[in-house]
Amino acid sequence: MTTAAVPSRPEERITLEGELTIYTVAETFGRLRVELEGRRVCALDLSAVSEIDGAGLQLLLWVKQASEARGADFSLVAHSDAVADVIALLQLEPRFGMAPVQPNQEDVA
Amino acid sequence: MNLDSARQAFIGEVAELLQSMEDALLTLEDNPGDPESLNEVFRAMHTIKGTGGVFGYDPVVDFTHAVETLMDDVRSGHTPLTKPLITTLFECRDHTARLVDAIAAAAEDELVLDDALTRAGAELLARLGQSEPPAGEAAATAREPPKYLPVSTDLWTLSLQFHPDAFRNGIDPLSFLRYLGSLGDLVHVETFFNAGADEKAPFDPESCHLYFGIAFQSDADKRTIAGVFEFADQDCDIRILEPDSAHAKYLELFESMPDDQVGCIGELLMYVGALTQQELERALQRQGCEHEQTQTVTDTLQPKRRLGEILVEQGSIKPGVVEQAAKTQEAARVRRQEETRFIRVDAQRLGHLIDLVGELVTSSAAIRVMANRSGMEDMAEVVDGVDYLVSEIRDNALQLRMVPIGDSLSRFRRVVRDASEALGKDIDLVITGGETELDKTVVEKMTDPLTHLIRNAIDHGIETPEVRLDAGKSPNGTVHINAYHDSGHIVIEIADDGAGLDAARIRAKAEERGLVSPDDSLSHEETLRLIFAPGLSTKAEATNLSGRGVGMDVVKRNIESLRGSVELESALGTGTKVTIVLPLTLAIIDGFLVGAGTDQFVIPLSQVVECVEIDAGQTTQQHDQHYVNLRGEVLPFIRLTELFESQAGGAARTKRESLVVVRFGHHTMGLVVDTLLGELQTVIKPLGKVFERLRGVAGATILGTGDIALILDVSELAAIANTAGAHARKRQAKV
Repeated sequence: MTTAAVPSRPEERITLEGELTIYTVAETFGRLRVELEGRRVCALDLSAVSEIDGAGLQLLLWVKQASEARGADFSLVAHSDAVADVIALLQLEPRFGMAPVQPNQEDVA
Repeated sequence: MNLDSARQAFIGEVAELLQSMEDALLTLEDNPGDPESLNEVFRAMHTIKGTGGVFGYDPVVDFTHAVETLMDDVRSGHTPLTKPLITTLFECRDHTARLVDAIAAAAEDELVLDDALTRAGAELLARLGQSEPPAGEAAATAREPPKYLPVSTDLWTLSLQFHPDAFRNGIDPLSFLRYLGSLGDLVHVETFFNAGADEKAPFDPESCHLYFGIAFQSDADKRTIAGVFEFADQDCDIRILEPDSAHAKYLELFESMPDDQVGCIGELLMYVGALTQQELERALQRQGCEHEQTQTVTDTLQPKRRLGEILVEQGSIKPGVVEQAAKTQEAARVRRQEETRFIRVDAQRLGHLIDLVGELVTSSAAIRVMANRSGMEDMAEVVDGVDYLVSEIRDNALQLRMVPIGDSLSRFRRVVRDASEALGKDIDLVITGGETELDKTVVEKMTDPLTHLIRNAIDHGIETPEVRLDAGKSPNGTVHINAYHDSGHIVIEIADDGAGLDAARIRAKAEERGLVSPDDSLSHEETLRLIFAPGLSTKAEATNLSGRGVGMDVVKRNIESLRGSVELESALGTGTKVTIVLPLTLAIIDGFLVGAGTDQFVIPLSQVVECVEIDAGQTTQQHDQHYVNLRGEVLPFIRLTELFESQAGGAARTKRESLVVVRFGHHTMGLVVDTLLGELQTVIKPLGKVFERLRGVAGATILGTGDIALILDVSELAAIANTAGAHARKRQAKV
């Protein structure tokens, strides 16, 4: 799986797990708001996200926007197939600092 | 519809399309930038390709595809429309016509092209390529863009603005995008996220703040694409803009839409698929709301805002499409006012109807005879009513076959263009009176004679620019075709401002051929008419233009077979005018029934000038030619009983006779008959081959009594009267 080139220490990582959908976004949002306070680096680890929908994606966009508004470095250090899928669908790879997924690689993935 | 009739329809359609293509090309020659004509040429090729494809006529499809591709380049400005290119396009048009002819000639669906035709096609295609080097094949392949290359003109543009409650209502924008992706390529997706940036718009993770702009490539139509978002309709503002290519398709659809389907503009746009039901409803709602608002605010009656305006503002549609729709709507409205809509009817059915009407006319005449015999007063009244209706039906049925002559005259623009190019002359064709109506069968039979006359005018009549300048005329000559109605006849004039006919040369030529003897004295007009004699051409050498094909004698014969006549006027140096007079219809005429001896004859009523009674004492006879003194004028006449050797002629001589004065063109003559029997609707039945050589008779008709009456051909009778004595004619000329 592709990972961002930005090196990150484990303590700087924010790890999200399980479902990232409309059913969980409110809860996740509450947690993230707290975690983001005072951070200089925001490295998201999404490798354990099993499911993501429009609301989940919107939350990711918010994290990126919010951390950049606070002057923090945002990066996506790892993501699951489900997340990659959605990002590819919306062609958001450049926005999340990922290399665009080529169709043939997608097959392999 | 079986395959064969479908094939016929195809062939007919192609003929029409090629005609309009030709017209458009002619316009383009004068005005190369005319977008309407460019579209016309493109559309003709495009439609022929499409229909040809349905039938699997691959040669037609391949050929028209190449031309269509080229036209597309021309239309978009990639390829300049040069004069040689137009000439090539003319040839392409002709080649397509030949291909379709080959289809028409082929027995079954098996289309076998002979080598010459295939070669001609290949050569033309090669030239199409040459006329603009990068065009042709190279351009054709370049025009197929790689799938992922975003070519903005071919893409649908969608914008999806989800409502805040979308997530809560179970709507996931991603699933719609996935579904959309299954219909085509999501070439580009732009995701906008606008929330949480400041205090005024706090981010609520459960509300939807997403907004998508999508560039989408697909062959699906707008309805299908809109269908993707059907369930999101309540939770999303959806705007779908068609690609420019679809745009062009809409414009085509507007054009092809039958007038009676052009309803209000919204329906119009929906019909062609430029607008979905929801979009229309939304716009209508808005129109209503705004209207109410303006009503309450200003309290004055303001016109409702145009629906099209709202639609464009709403982003449902591009302005160009609305504009075109509005135009179509307008044009349809005008057309509907002017004339009712058209129905395409098989000419055979129409012919059958007219035959039946003919039978009806005959039967109703029979009923009249029976009614008169029975002597029942009230019956006669009913018969009058039926008679009136039958004559109305007859007129209306004949009217169905009437077509404006202009449609067939416009094809001569091509004839003039090609001929003047071949001869290096500069010739304008002016057509007036194109709206004059004429029976379609007559129009068809007139094509060859007219073509010949026009070619004559171009080839022999109009001089080269140098000669014209020397003669003090403008370098470009004019051929003027004029058509108008004149007392039950149609008159077609073909006039040129060329050299005119040289009467002396015609005379010399005619004497050489032994058509006239040197001591015959002929009037100017009679001399000119000699060119209608077989085997007389004034041009020393036959050019490849005229001089082959039919001669003037054939022209005359063709016209006379239609019961028409042809006259010539010409002055040396100033031009020639040929005047053709034709009856309006061939099937049923108003006739004038007369009795001579035991027989009855019908004279076409339109040719009857007057009827007078004469005594035997008023007539004189000289050299087998009869004359009557009619109000101081000498009028030649024919006694029908003598001409047709009818019985009991001698006995009738003692009683008073009637003189029917008939007019034919400029000529008048008399026909002496025993009794005048009155007007009659006459169904013309052709006489069989046996009577082919019978002169002076145009046909026969069945009377109400079941008797047969001969229909007189006045022009032939005039000829008989004239040839009866050449001396007599000289005297007549002096009077």
